Amino acid sequence: MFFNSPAVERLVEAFRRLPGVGKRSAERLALHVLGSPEDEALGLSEAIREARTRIRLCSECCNLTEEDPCGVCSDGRRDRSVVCVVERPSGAMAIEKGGSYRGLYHVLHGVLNPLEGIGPSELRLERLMKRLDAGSIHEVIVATNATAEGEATALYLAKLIGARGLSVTRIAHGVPMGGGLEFADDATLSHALQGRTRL
Amino acid sequence: MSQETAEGVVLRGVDFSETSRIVTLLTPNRGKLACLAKGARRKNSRLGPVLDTFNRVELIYYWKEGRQVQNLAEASLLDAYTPLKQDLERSAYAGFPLELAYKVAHENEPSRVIYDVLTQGLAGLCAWTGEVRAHACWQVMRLICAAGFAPVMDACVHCGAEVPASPGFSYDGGVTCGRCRADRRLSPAAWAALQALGVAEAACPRVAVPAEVFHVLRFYASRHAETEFKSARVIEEMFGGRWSENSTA
Ligand SMILES: [Zn+2]
Ligand SMILES: [Zn+2]
Repeated sequence: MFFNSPAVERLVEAFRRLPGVGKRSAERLALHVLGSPEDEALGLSEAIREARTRIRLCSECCNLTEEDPCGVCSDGRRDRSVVCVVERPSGAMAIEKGGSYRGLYHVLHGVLNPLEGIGPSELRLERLMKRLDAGSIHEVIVATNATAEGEATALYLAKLIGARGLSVTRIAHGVPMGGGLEFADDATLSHALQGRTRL
Repeated sequence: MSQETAEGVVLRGVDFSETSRIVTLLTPNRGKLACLAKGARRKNSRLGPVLDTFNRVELIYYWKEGRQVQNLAEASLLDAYTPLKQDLERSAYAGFPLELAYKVAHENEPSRVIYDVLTQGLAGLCAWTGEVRAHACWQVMRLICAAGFAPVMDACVHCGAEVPASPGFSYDGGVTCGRCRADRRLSPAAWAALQALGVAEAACPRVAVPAEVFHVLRFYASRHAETEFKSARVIEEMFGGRWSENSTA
């Protein structure tokens, strides 16, 4: 960058670490922040600080939350006999947006990925097993992604949870609503066929 | 810049932006090839599922010399190796050959032999009815040979002497006579399995392959590829058969 300032360089570096931000965009963002009114710029840093320090993992479901336990875990109207296991908080968010699920969640914060060195001990499984052992959960819905890693994680959970005599189901992955069959690729179609349900 | 068509196996993928992914594939002619798949993370993307790990695909990309990441134009699925992905043990074990291929293949360097061993091994594992570990070890042995660092197995790697029923093993080069320097000792069962795996070129032999063999291949490959194999560590964690260095020494 054109200023010889370590402070600005640090800011550019920090922006660069954000997903999808390259060197050019990072410089643009830094220039924007430097050119904006002081209270606005400091407001941004304060918002980041506040969110980052207040948000933690729910001690029940491991989702991101400001209150512990989180809103879902402490909501008495939710069905406490079903728990839906997702890879990341974004998965729980997507299902919540769908609006039809009334059970609880569990966030693994990852998937089994031997190639990246991620085994069962790197996932938040211990907490899940403790919840299952507590006895009120009867069904576990595995909602990991339809990728090789998501599939392996689902199989591992099925083995682990099935051994406890609980019902384990996997969400169906397949042709999106409004998507014609001719637009679905082979991988999606073969998944959709395998995940078919009786009518 | 020219448009090229190639067959490839998806070795790994990382999210690049909100909508795109960078996938690394193994191709017969370009070796390890990193491609930017724009739109692969978009909702209802056709590209996303096609570029899943392990998939054998046909890809069209724009080749530009000297560029680290090429731009992917299109990809279509040739084989998803579904039976492998729907079995926990197969899916986990297959990670080791995949990581090995990733670490021994080079960018922009023909890798036909490694490619063939990898794809034949993945297809073979889908149909395999024997022990999954045996098949994985066989495929790893084939990849090690294809990469040009086959272990010496016919005589002591150090002095050339005949090897006993329970020889030593040196991660630097292969079996030892038992008197020469070695990293560990092999049980007679492990030695028999290694020999069977070493000579079986066309298909995995029906032999019992002890966990010790997997461990030996893991560290042998590590020494020669000069890197740790994360997948092998996770596999040993998941399926037991953990072998400490001094358990048989
Ligand atoms: Zn919670
Ligand atoms: Zn010797």
